[in-house]
Amino acid sequence: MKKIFRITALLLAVIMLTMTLCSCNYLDSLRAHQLFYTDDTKREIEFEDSVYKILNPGRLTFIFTDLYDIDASYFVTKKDVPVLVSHQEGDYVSINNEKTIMNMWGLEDKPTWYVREDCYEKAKAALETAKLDHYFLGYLDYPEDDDLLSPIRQENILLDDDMTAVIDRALATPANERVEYKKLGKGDYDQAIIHLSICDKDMIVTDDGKSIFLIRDDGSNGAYYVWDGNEYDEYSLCPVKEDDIETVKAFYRAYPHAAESYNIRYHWEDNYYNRGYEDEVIYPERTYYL
Amino acid sequence: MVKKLIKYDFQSFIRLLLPVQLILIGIAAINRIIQLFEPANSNVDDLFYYAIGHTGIQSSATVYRTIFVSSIVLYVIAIIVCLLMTVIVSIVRFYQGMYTNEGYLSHTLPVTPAQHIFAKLLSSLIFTLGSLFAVFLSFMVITMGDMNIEIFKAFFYMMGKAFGLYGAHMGLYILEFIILAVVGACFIYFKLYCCISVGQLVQKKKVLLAFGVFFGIYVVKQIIGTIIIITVTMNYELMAEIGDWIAKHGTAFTHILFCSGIVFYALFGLIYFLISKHIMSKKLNLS
Repeated sequence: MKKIFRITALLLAVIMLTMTLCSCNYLDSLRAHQLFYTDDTKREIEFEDSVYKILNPGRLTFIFTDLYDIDASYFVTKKDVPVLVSHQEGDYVSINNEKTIMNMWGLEDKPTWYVREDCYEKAKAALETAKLDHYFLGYLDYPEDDDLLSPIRQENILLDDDMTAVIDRALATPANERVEYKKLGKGDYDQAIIHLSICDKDMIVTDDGKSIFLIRDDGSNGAYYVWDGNEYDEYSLCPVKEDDIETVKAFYRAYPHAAESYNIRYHWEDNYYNRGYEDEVIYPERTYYL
Repeated sequence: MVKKLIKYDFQSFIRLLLPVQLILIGIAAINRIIQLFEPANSNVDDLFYYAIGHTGIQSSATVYRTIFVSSIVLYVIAIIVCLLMTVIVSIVRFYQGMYTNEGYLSHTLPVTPAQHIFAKLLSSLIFTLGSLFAVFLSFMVITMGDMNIEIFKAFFYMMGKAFGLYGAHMGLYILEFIILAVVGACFIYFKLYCCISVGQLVQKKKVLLAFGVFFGIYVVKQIIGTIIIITVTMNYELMAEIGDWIAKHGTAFTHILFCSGIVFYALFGLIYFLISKHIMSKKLNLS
């Protein structure tokens, strides 16, 4: 009988010891997504044996190519914060695919940026020169095999010199040769629009406030335009030069998921409506479409 | 003599409650053992993920999750049963000890009715505390390992933050909370004893009358409470002033809240106690 009790006690002790040694997925996941500030100044973050230093890009923005571990939320805390309260006590941060930049949204709705130590000088140099004379496309790449499990990755693609020159030539169109938006087709989904952003030659920084749009007017004659994003200028569509149309067509073919289809007429009229202008007085022919 | 009363009560409580508490801890242990079989990808929640053919992963994660959730539900039910059993056993011990055949023996002892009531209350409070400790122990078992350590770390961290924020007031809050909990528990038991005492005034259906008294008290309290709330909230100026005052004196308001709760429960607990004592002294009706 005593032997049975001893064996039972030993078995229970083994079970208890096993329980203490095993972890759980939830805790492991929380730990994997908790990062730490190196000190109380919050100017540096440790992540995977690297240190990320704060860098303020001013009016510019760093380009994110993709979100590393897109479904995960990372929280940066001080070192003494336990993992179970890291979400409440921590600052939310996103990390790009190359793990070179972190983006943290603060209380004043302005992001704080952290750049990995080895990329810091290059990023700083890009900010200081700030020559934004290139364009890039934020492209959502859908998987070919329709595997819905594969993440839809965003890839930032720097436009080549030919395409850049096409856009620059279009934007150089004199004001009297530009086309008014009323020339565009009237249907619901008549324009195939590709949104481009300006950047430096190394695609490190961009200016969020400045966008360029490639427009293919499927609603009327299939013409190609470049729009400089100026919302309140009626005559702001820059026609693509005849010699450049094939280059633009090839671009559209190369990135089939890049174009969004909608009627850009609504965009202008929506803005005029929201500005409170009286249609009958200033723009008598405009109508707000719902 | 009171010590002997408590000793016999303890024996009854232990006989009835200890198995329930051991079963609770056993269920917690089973749940912890189930967690040992957690698959590596059990955090994947996307049903679509499973629907389109990842059946191997689906089956192990789904089976685990089904068993785990079932065991958690069972654990929660066990906690509720344990706590309910404590209250039920307390009531039953009081009723049997005071108002049934056992009452003939109890009331011949050289003990006053007040001492009887306090002896029963003390036993009930001790075993309520014991049941709460059993629940705490079961929680330790169910989170044994890394999670346990992290929970304690998080708790002490938050307490440190609270003390940093409120200073000495936090200590007072804790003290007031403990006093409120004890006074509240006494209030509940005194109320139940009062209902049973009133119930035994009739010849037949004593337990039914006790239930009736309990619900009657509840309904009356709800009506009075509703009238007070409506009267106060209809006075917008008063509400605005109260709101302003609370915003400026949050700490004082919290202390007032705790203290008024303590006073309220103490006062009504005393009333119930006096009713029970009066019935036991003057209106005892042992059949």
